[in-house]
Amino acid sequence: MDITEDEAAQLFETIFEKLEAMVAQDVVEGIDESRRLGKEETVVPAFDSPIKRAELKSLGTVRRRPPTNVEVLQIALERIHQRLNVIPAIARRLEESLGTCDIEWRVDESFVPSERAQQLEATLAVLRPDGARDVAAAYRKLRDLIPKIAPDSEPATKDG
Amino acid sequence: MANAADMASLTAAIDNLLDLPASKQLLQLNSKTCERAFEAYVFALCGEAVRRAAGTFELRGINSGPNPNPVVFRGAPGSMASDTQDFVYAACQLNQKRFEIHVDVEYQGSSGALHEIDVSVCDENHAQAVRTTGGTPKTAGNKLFMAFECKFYDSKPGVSLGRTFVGLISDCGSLRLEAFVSNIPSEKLHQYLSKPSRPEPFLGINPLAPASEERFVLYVEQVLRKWAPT
Repeated sequence: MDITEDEAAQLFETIFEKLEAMVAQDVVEGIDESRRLGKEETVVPAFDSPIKRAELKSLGTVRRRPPTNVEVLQIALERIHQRLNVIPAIARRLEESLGTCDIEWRVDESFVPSERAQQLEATLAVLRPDGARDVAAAYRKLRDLIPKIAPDSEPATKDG
Repeated sequence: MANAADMASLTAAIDNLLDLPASKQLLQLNSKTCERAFEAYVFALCGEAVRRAAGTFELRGINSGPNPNPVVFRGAPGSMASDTQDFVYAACQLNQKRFEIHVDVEYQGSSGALHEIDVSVCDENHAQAVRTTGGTPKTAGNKLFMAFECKFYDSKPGVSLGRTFVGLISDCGSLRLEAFVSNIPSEKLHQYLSKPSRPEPFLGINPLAPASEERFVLYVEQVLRKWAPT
């Protein structure tokens, strides 16, 4: 289905409130950062302006604009897709390539204080939690409703 | 324009997805964890390139030796010689060349400054000397062969990290391959890295994009084959 700017704003608000409520801190910050960066677009100088032609030609051709509501929704869904589909796929790929699921991340404790170490240490299981299949199925249902906006979670063929 | 029923379906689909416990767990992961996982993924892809070039790729723990269990990656950048954990690296051989692949270790650049390199391919003898002496590996003098900057972006990739990596590489001497690898494509970053003498851009590499993944593995394989001919 196609959605309007107002509808996109409403859906984004729903998503953003949920992310904030669950304290998905880094995802929220990533979305904010992407909104702040905006969208770059190419500008063509208007040659009928009173500015001299040579001066117009010397101007840069790229400028930033704020994203539209639909683009902001796309940004949020892209981040969600990366976390919910790509991270578990990376975990599966690691297990397959290295031939083990016993994979961990640990820190050199002589450099990292123990309270900070907890944030940096992880196991493969946290990247591929129980219920990851339910997540993939729920994501596909959402994507089926707005395929032009939500990124595809199915691996493409090797030919693209 | 969606009608009221469509909007209700969309809202319900969003609720269903984001209310799942596994979704919450994944969305609450901190960015560092995702970045470290992405680095390990690039390490594994490099291993695949070595195998495809008909070389050997063996995981080793700094304390336990071959086939460590569990496989322990660094949760933060550190010294190649650190044995406070059984940190993993890969010992590789391709024809006459013996080399190692490391994740998240520090190298000393030409200027004397220390640089953290996400995934690195270095000379085996040099790495052994580092482990024996507790020293620091150097980038210059044909010790470091390849350097990969790996970024798992939660936000839209800007050029700033590419710029930082370009600066880092300029302090590393001449390498066989310098590459910037990210999970999300970025036209801006691609444009920035497309200039001559900048790192090779591999943007949008992830297991759900097998064509991009394949392009990366193939490229690394070709560089390895050229460097270590039969």
